[in-house]
Amino acid sequence: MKRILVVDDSKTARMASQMVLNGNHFEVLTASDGREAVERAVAEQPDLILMDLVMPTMDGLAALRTIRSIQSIRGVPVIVVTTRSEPDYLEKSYELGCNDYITKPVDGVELVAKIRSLIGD
Amino acid sequence: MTESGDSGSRGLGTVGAYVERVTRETRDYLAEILKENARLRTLAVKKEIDERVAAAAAERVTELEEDNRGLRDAAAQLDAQAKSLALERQAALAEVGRLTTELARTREQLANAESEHRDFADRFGAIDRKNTNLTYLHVTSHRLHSTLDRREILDAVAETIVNLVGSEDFAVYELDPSRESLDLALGVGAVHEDLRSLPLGVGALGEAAARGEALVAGADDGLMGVPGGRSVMAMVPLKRDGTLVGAIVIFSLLPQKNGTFDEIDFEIFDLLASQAATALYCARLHLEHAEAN
Repeated sequence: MKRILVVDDSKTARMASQMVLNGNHFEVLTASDGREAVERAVAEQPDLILMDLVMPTMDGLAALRTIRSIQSIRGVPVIVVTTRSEPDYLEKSYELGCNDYITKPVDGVELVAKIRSLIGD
Repeated sequence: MTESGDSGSRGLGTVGAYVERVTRETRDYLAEILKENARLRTLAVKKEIDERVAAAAAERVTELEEDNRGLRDAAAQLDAQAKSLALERQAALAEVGRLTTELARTREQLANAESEHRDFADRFGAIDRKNTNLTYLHVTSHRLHSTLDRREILDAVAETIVNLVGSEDFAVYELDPSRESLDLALGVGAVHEDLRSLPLGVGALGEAAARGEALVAGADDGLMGVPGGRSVMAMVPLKRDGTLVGAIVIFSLLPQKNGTFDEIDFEIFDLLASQAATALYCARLHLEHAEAN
């Protein structure tokens, strides 16, 4: 079963993503900020990361930059999932190496389709 | 001798004439013979030519007859081949007709299968979306009722509106104990000072809230007549047992919502309208109970 790390400071968002992904046969790990996301990614080696951008302690862009700089997890696909739809965030995210970008509120069907296109079932 | 001389002279003259006549006749005869000979030679040559021409003609006739036989045979073969090809063509046309019918039937079956597949895909997508929506409603309900802390309940409402509805510009109000106004309990985004308290029965929001009715703006414009001159996308009254206890006011939606609510948004509003009110009521009872003890 593929493992996905859901990173979001909102408990509601984490829970919603977790339930949608569990229902589609993915195993879900969670983190509530960027620093915890990097630590869990290194420790757990997930197949994919869903990354919120606006978070306390370490935001999503900083976490993405860090993930891409660590040899053991630099190849893990990252989908940014955020309320931010401004071009600046989009460009910066792709510049730092995100694989896809989804704006909230998340369409569960679209989310699962994008995950499967990156890592399969 | 003389006599004989005379008679001899006569005789010689006669002989000479005779000879001359014979010579002439001989010459004429010879000329005639030569002439006849030439005519016969001409005839012989002509005959020989005629015979050669006739032989050549006969030979040519033979050749032409052989050619003719060959051509007749070839024509007969071609005729047989043509008949055979005509039969094959007829059979091929019949096969084409059969295959065309089969192709049309197969295409129809394929179109039906594609239509059925699309229908299944649409239904699967709709069910998937419904599942997602139910998940979001479940999460919202779970978050509201998993705590008795008022602040956490308000945070759960806020997170629900931000993440599941798609707004970062809204306010949550609770009914003032005097029941005369709705007072700001939580604001996300810049809440105008004039909107910190909404008098019940005053203005579009106050009147709708007093009646316990939700207000939703049209696709292109917000509700008018709101304090602070702001437009409002929606006002959802929070009610417990039919009694107003608060309200959620959405001022604007995230750009990606394109200014419109989705079906799930209204379901979330319905759920918040009753469940958030109950959760806040339980939190207040819990606090009062804790303070009393």
